[in-house]
Amino acid sequence: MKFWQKTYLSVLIVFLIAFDLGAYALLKKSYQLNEQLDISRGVSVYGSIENSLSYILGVYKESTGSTNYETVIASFAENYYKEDILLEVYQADQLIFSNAYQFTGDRAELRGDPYHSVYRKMNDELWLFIGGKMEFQGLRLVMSRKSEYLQDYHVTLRQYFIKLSIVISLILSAALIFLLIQLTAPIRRLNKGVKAIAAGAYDQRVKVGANDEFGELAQDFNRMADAVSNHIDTINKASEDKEIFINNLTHELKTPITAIKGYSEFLNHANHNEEERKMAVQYIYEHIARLDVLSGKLMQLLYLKSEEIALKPVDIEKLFSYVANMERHHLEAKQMTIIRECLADEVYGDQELLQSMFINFVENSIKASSSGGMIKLRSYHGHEGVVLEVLDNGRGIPEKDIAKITEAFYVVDRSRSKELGGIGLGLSICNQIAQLHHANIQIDSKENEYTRVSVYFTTPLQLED
Amino acid sequence: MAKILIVDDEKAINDLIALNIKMVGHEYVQLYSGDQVLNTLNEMRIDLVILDVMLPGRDGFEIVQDIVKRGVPVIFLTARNTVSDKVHGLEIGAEDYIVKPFEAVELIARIHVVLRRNQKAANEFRLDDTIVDLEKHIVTVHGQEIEITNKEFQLLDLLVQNKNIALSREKIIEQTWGFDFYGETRTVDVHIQKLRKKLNWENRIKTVYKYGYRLEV
Repeated sequence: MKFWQKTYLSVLIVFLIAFDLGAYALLKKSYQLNEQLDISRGVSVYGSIENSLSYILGVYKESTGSTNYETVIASFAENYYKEDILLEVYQADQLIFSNAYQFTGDRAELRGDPYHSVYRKMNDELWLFIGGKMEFQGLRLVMSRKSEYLQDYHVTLRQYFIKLSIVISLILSAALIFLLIQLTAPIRRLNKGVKAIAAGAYDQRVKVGANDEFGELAQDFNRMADAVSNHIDTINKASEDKEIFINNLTHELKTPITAIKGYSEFLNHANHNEEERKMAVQYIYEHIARLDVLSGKLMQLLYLKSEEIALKPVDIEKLFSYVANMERHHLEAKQMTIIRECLADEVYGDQELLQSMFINFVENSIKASSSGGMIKLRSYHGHEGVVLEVLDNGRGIPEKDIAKITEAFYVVDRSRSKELGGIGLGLSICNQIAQLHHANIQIDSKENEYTRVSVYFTTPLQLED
Repeated sequence: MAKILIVDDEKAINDLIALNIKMVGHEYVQLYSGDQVLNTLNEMRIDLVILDVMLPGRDGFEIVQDIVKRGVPVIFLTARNTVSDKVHGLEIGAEDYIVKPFEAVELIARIHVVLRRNQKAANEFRLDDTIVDLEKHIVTVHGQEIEITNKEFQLLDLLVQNKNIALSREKIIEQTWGFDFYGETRTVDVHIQKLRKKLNWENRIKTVYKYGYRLEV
């Protein structure tokens, strides 16, 4: 059973019980008041009958001396009979006159208490009995009279009560259903939203209505849905990244494999001359070397992904001079110079990983620069911590490529990059190293003017300085 | 003899395709990016383009329609091996789609299929005193037409298409008899013997030790 149906039934039952009890008590009281009025009217009639009868009997006894009262009473009773008033007269325990119904059972009005009144229902008619001792010789008189008025009143009240109950419960029903449907509308909306989200529409949100419990629930639910969809996005992104990585890796592996396979097949089966043989062997050698570099870089990347590092203070001046020293042959070959500027002295990190990262940056800069160019290594305190920077005046990076440049296997100019021996994993490795240091790499470049690679170190450890 | 344009930015792969094409007696032109393809097509008669998809400049999927419009058939040769790429490649007008790494025999077989479909293949092959009419399936030695069975002609065709390249017995069976052939590789030897005798090619069809056969030209 639905919540609103349960609420509807329980409210309806409780209300009807309360209403009926109240109404019943009220009607009962009203009936009692009417009954009292009826009795007091009956009592006054009884009083006048008793008076008259006592008087008549007294006169009769004095004038005749007879004690046979029956005929006197009968003729007296005759008058009242016309008015539907019936009489019984008892002498001691002996019934001496009656024109009323005779019935057995307890007759409390015969006990002799004055004006004792009892209602009895006989043949579906309500009768009022009033009895008591007469003044005349201790005779007892019982008057009985049909109480049609009271009976009608009772019937009317009962019908009225039933009608009222029905009308009230109909009105209440309608009002309750209307109210409950209104009040439970947010639950249904919430329910619909939850079902949609459960069915996979993770971007849907539940409408938040009034500021009540349902509103709060809807808000909380939306918050939960946000969290879930964020997680799903993260997972999707991760799996997409993985797929892109694997696709790129496959492509990157296929070229050397195609070359090695093709040339060895050629050497084995084709009718070739010496020059062709040399060329084939040279290509096989080159592509094996490329596979070697690729596997080395891949191992480094996979190793970095599983690594947790301890961050220790690293002297930036020493780091820069180590990098410059390592790259001096490449620099000399292109008559390039490195300028170092250290406004910040220390950074927290892993010395070897940082060296590897900056060697990568500097090598990229050398490849991008023309002969005689200049590379600037710089460190300073930024808003959020230490920043290390590599700036060159080389070819720059086209704007559309900057966002993708740290993706594994992404190279801006494939044919040129291959000539320079690149496979597109360098910046991916740098990015991984930066993540281990809780640092961000930002690349900012203008084609044919400059490229600036900035590493922002934002670890809490860096900020303590 | 057809003139084939090879477009692949990997020099090693480009040279490899060129070597194999040269081996079976076609001419070739090599390009390393998508940009000059249309210029080259304007400058000279090209019978077939072998096109990589991922190219610097305009990529293969971009230029294929311009090439096909000029009536030149295209074969894609690429590392992209998803079904959707293949379907896309074929839908936009390529005649065939080959995935790297490829086998030389397969590449050449497909090149010949495309050339023949576009009627750009030579339909006659002459060697010594033997003339093979590839279209009419007629072989003449010293001007005399000789009798040749259907299977023998298929084998001859395969050897001619792959001249100067060694074909393994398994490859020959696969190409001539089909994948579902359960006979022994000796069947190949018997047919080769018959061909050598009928065509006077005892010294032309060389046995490659423990591998197969090669037609030397």
